[in-house]
Amino acid sequence: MTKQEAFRLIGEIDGLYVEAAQDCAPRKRINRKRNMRMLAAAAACLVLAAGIFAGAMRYHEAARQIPLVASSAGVTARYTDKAFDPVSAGGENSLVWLSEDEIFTHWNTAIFRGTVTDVRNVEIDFAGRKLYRAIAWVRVCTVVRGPYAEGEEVKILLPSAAASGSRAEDCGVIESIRVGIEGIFMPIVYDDENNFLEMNGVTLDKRDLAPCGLADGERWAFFETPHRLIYAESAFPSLAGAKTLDEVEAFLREKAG
Amino acid sequence: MNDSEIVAGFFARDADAVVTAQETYGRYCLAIARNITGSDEDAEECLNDALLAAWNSIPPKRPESLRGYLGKLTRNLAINRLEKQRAAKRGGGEMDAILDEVEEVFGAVDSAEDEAMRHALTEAIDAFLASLDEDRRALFVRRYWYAEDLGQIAARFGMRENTAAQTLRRIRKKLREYLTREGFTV
Repeated sequence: MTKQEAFRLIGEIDGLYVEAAQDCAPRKRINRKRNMRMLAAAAACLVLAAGIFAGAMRYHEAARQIPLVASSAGVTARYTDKAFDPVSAGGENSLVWLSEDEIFTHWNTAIFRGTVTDVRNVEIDFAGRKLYRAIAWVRVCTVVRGPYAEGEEVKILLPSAAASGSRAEDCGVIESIRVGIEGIFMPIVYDDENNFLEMNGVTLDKRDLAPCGLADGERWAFFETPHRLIYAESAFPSLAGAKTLDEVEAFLREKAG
Repeated sequence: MNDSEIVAGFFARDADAVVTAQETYGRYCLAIARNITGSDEDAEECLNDALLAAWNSIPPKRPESLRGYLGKLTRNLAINRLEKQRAAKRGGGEMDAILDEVEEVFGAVDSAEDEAMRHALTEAIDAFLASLDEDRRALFVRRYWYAEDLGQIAARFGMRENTAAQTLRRIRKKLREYLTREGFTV
């Protein structure tokens, strides 16, 4: 192979590497002046501090990265502090209309009650196209059905990014989620059939993020606040008049059989 | 204006889209072409040719990253120009060094005229790059895709030129070893 052929061949490498190399920020060179002891000491301190800072930043960034094992190449995911409002957060919503009975049979959903211990937004990069979701950690206190156990902390993939700041309680059900709130959750338990999310030619295996997730932001969660019960009232006519999660739990137990 | 809007302009045969593409990515493409040809004048011509090639190929092509697409067109056109320079005994300088380094890795590989062979080699290089950490990968790409000289690379990565050269030498050695393991003759 001639030199030019080889150089042309390198031109065919993955465009993502080319883009990433273009976007890598210039870095400052470390200045080493050996004959000036004071300056050297100061420089050493600076280098040390910069090293610690860079190490901390690298650790911080590494901690944000979510290792993806089953997803295809080209997909990355990281936790993000980016703030969203309820409108811009976007998200996927199942538009399938389901009767009250079908809600319990249409998908393989777990049903459990628990307290939200953490909610973090996630930036998923599908080969350059970004999508935002959130993961909620829920400490399970009661299991109605599903593969989870009392006391276990279960991660749930939410269908949109969590909103920031104060939220009006009349927003969508899932927008009421926050650390410390008690709720009942009905996430789909991911299996080999329902675990994929494909975009831009690459595929995310949702199980890389969480073992289960909500189909939409309305019908699959119930929250109790000091003021009222928050749930998709139109989807559960039998719950009309319910005021507590205990009543919801009793109803769900009956439905789940 | 974002990429998809500019590409939509190409599809609508709106000449303003070419102007916007030049304003947005012209400097990027010029830098690539200048690195390879070593000449501002040739680089300008490469950019113009790349914009024309983009105009002629979009549609039907619809690149997801217009920057990447124009960059690759410019790079290939700059290599064509470099080959002409060499035939006319011009050129030289840093690009000679880069080509020598590339030859050091691929010189013994059979000429990759066969599309399947080219594809296999490209995939192997991609896999090798995936195994590198981000910095080393970017270092390799800046040198052998963008054809940057060692001074630019050293400044970008905050290292001495010698260190950059040594790191690149180690990456080339690893790539040679990797390709050998993958069954290529290097």
